[in-house]
Amino acid sequence: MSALKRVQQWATFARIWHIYDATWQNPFKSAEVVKKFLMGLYKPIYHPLNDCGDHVIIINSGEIALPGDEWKKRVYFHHTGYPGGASWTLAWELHTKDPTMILKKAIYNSMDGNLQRRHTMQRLHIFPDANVPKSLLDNVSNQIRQLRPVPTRLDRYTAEEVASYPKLIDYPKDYIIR
Amino acid sequence: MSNSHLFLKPAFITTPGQNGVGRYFCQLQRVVLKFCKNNGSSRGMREFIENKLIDFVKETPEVAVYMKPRRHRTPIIRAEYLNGDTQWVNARNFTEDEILKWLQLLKTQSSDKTGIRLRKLLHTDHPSVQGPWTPYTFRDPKLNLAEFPSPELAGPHVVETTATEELLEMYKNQQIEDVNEKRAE
Amino acid sequence: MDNAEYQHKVSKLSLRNGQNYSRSLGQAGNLLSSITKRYSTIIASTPYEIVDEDKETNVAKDIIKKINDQIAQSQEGRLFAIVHLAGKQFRITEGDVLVVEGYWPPNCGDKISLDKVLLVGASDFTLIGRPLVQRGLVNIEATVIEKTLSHTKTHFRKKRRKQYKRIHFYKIPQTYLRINTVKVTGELNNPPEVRGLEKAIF
Repeated sequence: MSALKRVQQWATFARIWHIYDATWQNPFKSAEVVKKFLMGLYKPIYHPLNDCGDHVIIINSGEIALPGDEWKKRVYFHHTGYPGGASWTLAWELHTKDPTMILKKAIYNSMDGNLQRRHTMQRLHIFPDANVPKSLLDNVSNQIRQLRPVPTRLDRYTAEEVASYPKLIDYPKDYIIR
Repeated sequence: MSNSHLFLKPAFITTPGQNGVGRYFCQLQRVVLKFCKNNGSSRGMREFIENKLIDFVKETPEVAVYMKPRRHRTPIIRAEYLNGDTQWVNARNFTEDEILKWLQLLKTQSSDKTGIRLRKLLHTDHPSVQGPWTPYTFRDPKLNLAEFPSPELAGPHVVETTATEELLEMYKNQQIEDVNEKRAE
Repeated sequence: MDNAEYQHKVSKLSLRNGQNYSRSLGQAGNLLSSITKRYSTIIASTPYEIVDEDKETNVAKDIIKKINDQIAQSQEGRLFAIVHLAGKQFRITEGDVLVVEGYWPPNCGDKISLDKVLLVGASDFTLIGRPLVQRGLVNIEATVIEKTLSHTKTHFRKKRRKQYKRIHFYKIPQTYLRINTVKVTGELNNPPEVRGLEKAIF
């Protein structure tokens, strides 16, 4: 391969590091978005044998939001292979034990069960909070947008914002506040 | 399950001698018509030679047509191409029209394609005009200056404003209009 | 603040909002019908925009002039086009070979001009047709090099446990086309006249 073509190949197959903030996001829907970047499906050069997948760093996986009753009712089954080795773990129990597992399993299960899956999962890096090693953060060059807007918590508004917000209604004059 | 990989070789499109870039030229070099003078299976071949061969030869002067009468053998059409490929067709019990059709097909071919499966229906020497895709084509330049994780880039592409934001906007617009009214006065 | 003043303020707010809403809903309705959902986008009312129509037309004229200059000086370089042929679309440049499958009348050695052009691209500009590029603007010529039959394809049918099985062997006629030229002739918005396309169905 000539030097020019080698550089072209290196540019086209460059591996990009993406970062995704999972605060208050649905892990199962996030998985569908994140897996596209992990597998390289958004690239026009995609082919399963092309090794064109990117790295994805997911932060705040401890802050994910499962829909409805799922925290109480979603069950993760695991069998060690030995007799009597079946275990059923609820989502909230699993989350307290390891806050990255729910997202990891969601992404793993959203992919096709082919031989590329385990290799692709090696390019996924999940962190329970925003502390990421600097060596990994330095590689990041793209941010994946979240799926749902994260509203500010009412107790996180600053005093100035509260004061400058227009007042729409007030108590009637003869109302007695207890 | 299927054995076609044993007898069908996959190949890309090849054109001998860049046919068509300049002038088109017929790829058939010579045709040998072998027939029996007597046998009934050669009847169609004999009729073709009598009636239609001369017109065919006049239409395609670049092809050399040889005739080989062979007693007690089936009639055969054997074609040789410019790149050395040969192909033979058993013309037993063919009618003269069938023989003409086969000859016209052989005339338009460039080689024997029965054992070749085309992998793609397009061949280019210049697959990219605007430059091959890299992850940096169509990339927003403001990402070059961003520090990750960035709160501006984290949120979804929200086109809908919340009620809180709308109220704030209305209030600000109202304040601006009040100021303008006061100035007008 | 007084109750009366507050009510006045609120009503003032709502009136103004009502005006904006009627306009924005109309546009939002069109948007909603035409936009498809993408990842992480929430579709609703139109955002505020300042649109300067004169500036936009000037920018457009500028670009078209630059393209016309390049074409006049024949400095556009290699062109590629997306062409609709025999029910399929191909991305072609000068010098490449195409295979058209199925019954296609043109004979060996025939020169053909391909007129259903959907997109033309050079290294500096792209002309996107809606759905076709202007008639006569792009000149694409091709020669038919070969007419063969494909490899033997099999259509196998079986009904299980019913002793029914059929194999149908067939070969599709294939036509090899060599693309000789892909050129932009004339100017944008002012293409040369093309005759002979009156009966063509586009």
